[in-house]
Amino acid sequence: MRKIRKTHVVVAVAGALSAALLAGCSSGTAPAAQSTRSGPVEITFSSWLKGSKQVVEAFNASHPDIKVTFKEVASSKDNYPALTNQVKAGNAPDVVTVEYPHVSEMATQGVLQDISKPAGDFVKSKFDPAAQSLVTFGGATWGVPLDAGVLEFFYREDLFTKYGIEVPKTWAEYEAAAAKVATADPAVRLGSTVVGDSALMAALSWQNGAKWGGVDGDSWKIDVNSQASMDAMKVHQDLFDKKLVWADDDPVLQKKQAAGQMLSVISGAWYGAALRSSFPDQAGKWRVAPLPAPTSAPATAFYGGSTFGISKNSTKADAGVKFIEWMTTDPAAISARIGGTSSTFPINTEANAAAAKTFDKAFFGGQDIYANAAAGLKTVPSGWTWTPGTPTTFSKLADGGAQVKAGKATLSQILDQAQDATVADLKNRGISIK
Amino acid sequence: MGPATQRVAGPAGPPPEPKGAIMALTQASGTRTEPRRPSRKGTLTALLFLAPFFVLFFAFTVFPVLYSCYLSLFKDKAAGLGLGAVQKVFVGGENYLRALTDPAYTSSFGNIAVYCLIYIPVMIVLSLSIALLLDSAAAKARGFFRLAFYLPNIVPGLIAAVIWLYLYTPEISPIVDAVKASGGTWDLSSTLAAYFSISNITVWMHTGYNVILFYAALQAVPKEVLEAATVDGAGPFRTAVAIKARMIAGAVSVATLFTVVGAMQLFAEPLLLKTKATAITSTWTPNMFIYDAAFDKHDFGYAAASALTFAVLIGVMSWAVTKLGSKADQ
Repeated sequence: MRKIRKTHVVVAVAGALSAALLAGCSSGTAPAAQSTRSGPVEITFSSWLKGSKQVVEAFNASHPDIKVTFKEVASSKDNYPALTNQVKAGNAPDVVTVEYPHVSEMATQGVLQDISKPAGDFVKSKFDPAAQSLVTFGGATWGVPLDAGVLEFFYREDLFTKYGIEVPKTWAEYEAAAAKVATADPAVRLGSTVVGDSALMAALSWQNGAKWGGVDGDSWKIDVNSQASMDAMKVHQDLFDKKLVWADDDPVLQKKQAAGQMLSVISGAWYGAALRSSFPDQAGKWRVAPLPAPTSAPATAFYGGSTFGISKNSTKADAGVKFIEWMTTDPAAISARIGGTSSTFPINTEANAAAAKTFDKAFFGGQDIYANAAAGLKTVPSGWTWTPGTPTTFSKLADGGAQVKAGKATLSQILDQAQDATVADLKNRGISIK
Repeated sequence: MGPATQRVAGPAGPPPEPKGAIMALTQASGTRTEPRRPSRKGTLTALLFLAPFFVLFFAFTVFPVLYSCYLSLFKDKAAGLGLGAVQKVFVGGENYLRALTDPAYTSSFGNIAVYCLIYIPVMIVLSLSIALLLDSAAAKARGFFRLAFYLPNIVPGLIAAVIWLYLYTPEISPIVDAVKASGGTWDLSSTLAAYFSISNITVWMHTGYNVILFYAALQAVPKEVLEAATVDGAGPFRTAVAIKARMIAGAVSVATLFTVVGAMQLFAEPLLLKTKATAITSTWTPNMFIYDAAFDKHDFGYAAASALTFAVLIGVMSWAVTKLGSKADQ
């Protein structure tokens, strides 16, 4: 008898272990727990954006019917590999954060679900035309825009006066000003190079009317090395070759900026708050101007900015979209996000007004930086589309940027390389290219 | 790198018990009890004790490997804009063929080879020299120096890379300042600079570990041999080079070969350093290539195929190492 019992025990243990293993393997296909009809709908939300926790708290306090649980992500870099893995495992959060360049990538990787039904009309009616093509493609809506990283010209007003230079309105004027500064003081430069910053190269091409991607029927168009992109890069190649701008990396550049050896920075609207937290002792000295344009007609582009979407395995899209709508358009949500420390520039007009009111203008000597960004938003060429091959484009440009810095390649050559790599990558995935 | 090199201590340790002794023991115990028949009870108990190992081994080693093999034979095929469902298509050896003909993948092996050619001779010669110095009669405070040399090894590779990243950054690093002050130039952007900046970090990290191994091996060099050498008129330098270094040649060669296997898996250091040593691309080493394929391009089939090819190569090399190691022992 005893022996038999022991056999049972062993079999039971082995059975339990293998069951546990199987459960571990198959958790990916397990259906998400259904919410009960009584009590609030419970959804999860992941993000790395500053102020997300405060937004969730404010939402939960004012919405008894939906309860959001916030899951922090360390950085945007960690976000996308985590999302693709989580969707494979079936445990992705209901509401996810995706930056513009990654929306089509995440849509084609099966991370995002089509939210045309619950959010399509909402996106069309509540957001600027420049943002439409970034979240709507292939006849479907994939995300709801939060903010626009409108590319602007941040500059030291005091030092501009000292060196006797005007705020440049065109890139030609920018180059002239850069030359003047470098001649006046060899230890000082007007700004830093775009070489090595893939997203900035994209934004400056966009400003010049280029479109790196597009949709043609059932195919993507890849046009990274168009003439408009090449033309946009000319002045930046020239500035780099003549050493009229700094070509250092971050910690060194920060040091130079702190020492007043760098007079201006080209960055997105969100940079206003970063500037204030990095260089608090330079308060009152910075101003913002429209980005220098290729011609006398003002133009700019998006450099950064995020959207919210619903993950593929979420069964609570309606509640998720409700939360997203509130996050992106409600003044209370924006006030909670900004809390006086962020300079996020919401695309939705009502939310934007709330943000402008909440932001403390003292650092910029009382200048209304939101007005500058709002004027910029109107000059962003519409129709820009990020393709699913964008990560490949970016990594190729980053690797190529090193070659440019070493003097072994030019910006136009690495645009060609990025074009080829992106096309090859998408073709390999079976995606149709025209 | 750790577990692989630990086995190097083997040759320096005491020789294994002769087989006869073990047989005598078994025979001795055999005479005391009845010859053992495999009892059911015993088998069950043994199974219970063995189960945890096999469960973990299958769950975390065998299953992932088999799953990678499976993944490597498939490819996610999208259609049109790629917005619809992805089809998992069986492609047989296509991923393998693509990896072997991908210049990014093959050149990553070239980078590793050059890196090994710089890193390994420097590191082995340095650790051997330090071990011999520590072992020499004139050495003072041996315990302290052994610890001091070993310390960098307890710093995780990632942290070491971060430390050196700062030491390589102009205007922040005292080293760069010193180089510039003495009239030198500092430029990490060249291909050669990439190899040297990485080698420098790994040499710094792993020298101490091998010093300890070689020093332990040196303790096993018989005193009589050294005394005989002294009587024959060999000075301390001659003894170190001609006697001691030769007597631990087995340990040195095995350490070298294991270091090669460890060095091939280079990943964290170049990944962090590529912002400074700009010649390092995102697919600079085989492991970086696999990481890029899996997590940037989301091409798991391709990543699995290149990872398995790499694993087979390391497996073959490890096998060769063990073969050569046992030869060196004899």
